[in-house]
Amino acid sequence: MRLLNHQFKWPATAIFYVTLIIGIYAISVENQLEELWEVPVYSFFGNKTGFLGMGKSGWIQNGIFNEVLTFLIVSSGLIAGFSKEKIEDELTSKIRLESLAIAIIINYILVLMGNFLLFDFSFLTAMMVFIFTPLVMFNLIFQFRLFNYYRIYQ
Amino acid sequence: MKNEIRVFRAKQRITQDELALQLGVSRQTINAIENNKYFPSLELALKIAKIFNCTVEELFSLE
Repeated sequence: MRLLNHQFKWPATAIFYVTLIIGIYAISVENQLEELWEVPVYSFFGNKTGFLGMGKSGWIQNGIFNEVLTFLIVSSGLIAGFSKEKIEDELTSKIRLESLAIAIIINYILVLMGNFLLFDFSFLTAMMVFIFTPLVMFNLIFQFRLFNYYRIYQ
Repeated sequence: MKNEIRVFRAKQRITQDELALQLGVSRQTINAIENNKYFPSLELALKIAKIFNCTVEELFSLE
């Protein structure tokens, strides 16, 4: 599997966890930060209803704080997870792929639980969170398992 | 599956670090292989056999 250079790993990891904490804070204050950094943006499906109930596309005013935060969390999470370790070998690759599989399985178990236990807006909020949980769990599980492997076989 | 890497390494007086360096893997990976916690790929097994100048069957066998 082709991976990014090791030099990206730690800056991306730092950005990932910092932006993740800001993201958790943003959700906890119920998106009061949504209106931050309001600029005109091009929306493919705007607020006004158009043909067949789809929103009209066009320029709208929108706070881009959430969009920037989402971009930073997702891109840094991907870079952190898919950058080479200092010594990248087949065992670290195996641990990485297993961690990814475990994260996906746990995420869909959570989605299934949310499907039966959460309704209305809380379900939508949970779905929004589930966009990030595979990346978060993948990074956490991978780092934990790698740490354990270095500790046990040192 | 069991392996004789530790025995071959001792015979040829190669440390885990040296073997790991020659193979381009971490020392922890060599340790995990020696302790039967990780089974290497065919490519890595062949590389190890080449370093010890023996066959893969001499290094690895089914229990």
